[in-house]
Parts: sequence; C-alpha cells; structure tokens
Amino acid sequence: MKKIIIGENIVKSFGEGDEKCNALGGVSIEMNEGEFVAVMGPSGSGKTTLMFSLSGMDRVDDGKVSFAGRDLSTLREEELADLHRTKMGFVFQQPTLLKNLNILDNIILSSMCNKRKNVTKIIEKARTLMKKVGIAELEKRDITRVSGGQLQRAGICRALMSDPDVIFGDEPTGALNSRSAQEIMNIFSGINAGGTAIMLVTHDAKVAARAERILFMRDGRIVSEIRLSKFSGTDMDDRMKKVTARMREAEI
Amino acid sequence: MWCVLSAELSDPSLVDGKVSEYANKYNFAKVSGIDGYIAQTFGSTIRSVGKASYAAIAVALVITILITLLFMKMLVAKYRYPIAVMKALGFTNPDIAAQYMSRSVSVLMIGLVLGTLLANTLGEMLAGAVISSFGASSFHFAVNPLTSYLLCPLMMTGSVLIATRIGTSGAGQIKISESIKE
Repeated sequence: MKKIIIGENIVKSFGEGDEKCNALGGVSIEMNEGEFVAVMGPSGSGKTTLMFSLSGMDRVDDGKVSFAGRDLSTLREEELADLHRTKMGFVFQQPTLLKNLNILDNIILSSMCNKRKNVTKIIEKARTLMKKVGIAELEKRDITRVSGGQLQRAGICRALMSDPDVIFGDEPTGALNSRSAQEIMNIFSGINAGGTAIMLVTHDAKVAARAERILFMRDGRIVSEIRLSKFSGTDMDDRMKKVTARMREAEI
Repeated sequence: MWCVLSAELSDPSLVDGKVSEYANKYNFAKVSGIDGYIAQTFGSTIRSVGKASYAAIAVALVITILITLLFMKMLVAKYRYPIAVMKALGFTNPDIAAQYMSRSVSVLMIGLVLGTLLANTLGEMLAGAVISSFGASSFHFAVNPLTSYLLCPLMMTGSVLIATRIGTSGAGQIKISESIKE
C-alpha cells in the first residue's frame, strides 16, 4: 500500500523559556492511502498538534513530514495553501463556517478561489454532496438557523469538495449529541469506503473504534497502537472491547 | 476721496505696458493690473486659503491613513477565527489581503462620490461662512478639475491601499493551529 503521509521524528513545542511546552517529542507515523486512522489520548497529549503538524497547518520544530512524497517543510505558503485546497479536507469540532455566508456558499467557498473554476460544476457538485449527507434542502439557509449536526454535515461537504486524498477531523463529533455523532460517523465510514484516507482525533472510544488503526498518545508521544479490520457496521461491540482494553493498558 | 476706474484692454498682453504708461502719465493716481489689484487687496486672504487647502489635503490624507489602519487592525483582530478558517481551506495571505483591499476600496469609492457631491454643495456654503469672517463678502470654490477629480482621489486611494496593506499584514501572522485548536 502506498504511503500518503510520512512523519519522521516530529518535534513541536510552544512558548519559550520557562513557559516552553513540548507538545510532540519525536513522533514518527506513517499513513497509507485510503486508511482510516484514529488518534486518541487525554487532553494535552499532543494529538491535535500531531494532526496539525501532519497536515502542514503547523510547521514542525524538528523532524520531517512528507505528504504524497512532498516534504512539507520545503513548500512555500502558496504551495502549502494549494495542497490544503486540493489534497486535504478539514473538519473541526466547532462549525467553522462563515457567518455571513449561507450553507451552499460556505461549502463552495474554497473551490471558488481556483482561478480556472467552473461555477456551475462547483455548485452541482456541492448539491450532490449535500444530498449525500442529507442537507439538500438547506442550501440557502443561514448557518445560524441550522443544528450542530447539520453544520457538521455542511463542514464535511466543504471538506469533500476537492475530492481530497485525506480528510483530517479534529473531534468532529465532540460538540454533537450521540445520535448526530453516529450519523456523522456513518458519513465518515462511507467516505473512507470510497477510498479517501481519514485521520480523526478523538476522545471518544466509540468514534475511534470505527478506524482500522488507532494510535494512543500521552505526553507528546505515541505510546500504543492497535490495528483492527475494516469496519463492517456489525462488529462494534467487539471493536469497542478491544479499544477500551488497550486504553486501560496504555493508561489513557 | 478715492474713486476706482476700471479699463478693459482688447489685447490683454498690453496690460503691463499700459500700467507703466498710465502710472507715468497720472502721478496722482495708483495704477495697477487686475492681477496686481487682486493680489494687493486680497493677497493675504488668498495665500491663507491656499495654505489652508494644502493643509486640508495633508490632514485628510493622514486621517484617512490612520482611520483605515485602525479599522483594518480591528477587523483582523475581530475576524481572527474566520481568517484562520479561510487559511485552513487553502486561501493564502495575499488572497485574504485582497479581500480586505476590495472592502476598503468599495467604502472609499462611496466616500469619494459623497465627498465630491458634498464639497460642491454644502462645502462651499460652510467654507463661505468661515471665509466671510475674514472680510470677503462672497466666496466661491474655484474648482481645479484635475486636482479635485483626479489627483486628490488618486492620493486618497493610494493612501487607503497602503494603509490596508499594512493593516492586514497581521492576518499573515495568524496561525491556523492557534486560532482553531479546540
């Protein structure tokens, strides 16, 4: 299987002097094309920083991150922005949609900054995605007049607009009730089944149990890892047992 | 007792010669060309108004730059989160700066049109009221179209663009991870 992301000995710290905080202390990780990886760990363990470092949203202090064979540290701002726009999708915990735009405009926003865009095709694609995630009727709706789950679906549509190689999710179900969270995870599982790699950062074992590989982090290091089969939709109990047992072992 | 006699020459280029000729011929009279007459009578007022207009241009430009800088810095601070989101979606710093530039220029265009209209209506009335306190009975703007409708708007546009560029430079410092991290 071809590697899409390779992180070697990543070191990242924040602050200076006495206030310096080492968020990542030499983390190495590889991710295959089409793989579903979850990263778990307590608050402050460095899981979000790892995601930001691997996606190039944060420059690492030391070590190397490659995305599809390209060393992210050597890319100029425009090249990195282009990579974010065309090869990566991001879904965050809070609905990171812009308040002065409606749902459809938010979804197509990043596609519109492509100079050779075809607006009709972009809107058509956005409508197809909205239909797929069940928010087709909300395209003209103001973002303040929809639920958190609907906003998150819109966020997923936005992330999928460029047919990315990888979707990064930072606690995408963290602000949702259990029903919405399950629906969102069903969408993620469907996306992954279509061949898109997914990396999710989560506290929730039920969310992580959907992944093929789960990394457990503590104090800026990966302390344990578990590999599971592709999620079939019927083996959740068994997967949950394995994940929770490993969490206990890793003291997470 | 004085009285003023005006004469208009059919050939204005003869004014200087005729002034000298009449001054020599009529020693008891004070003879001057119309330009000289205006300069002697209203010279200080005209010079003051001229200085005031240059000062007004300079002050207007400084105020324009300061206000634009202030607003841009405030907007960048206020929209820190949406800016971080846009950067995460693949927008570059020049893309974001261009967006703020277009906003600035839109507001500027409205300001220029309104300013020009008001200067030609209310402005003349207000300036006339101030100038009349210096002794002039009536006052009219002598509008120089090149300066009023081209140079001043261009200077203002340039100032606004520079101030916007400087004001939005802070958007480049916004780190996606620090602004979006849950």
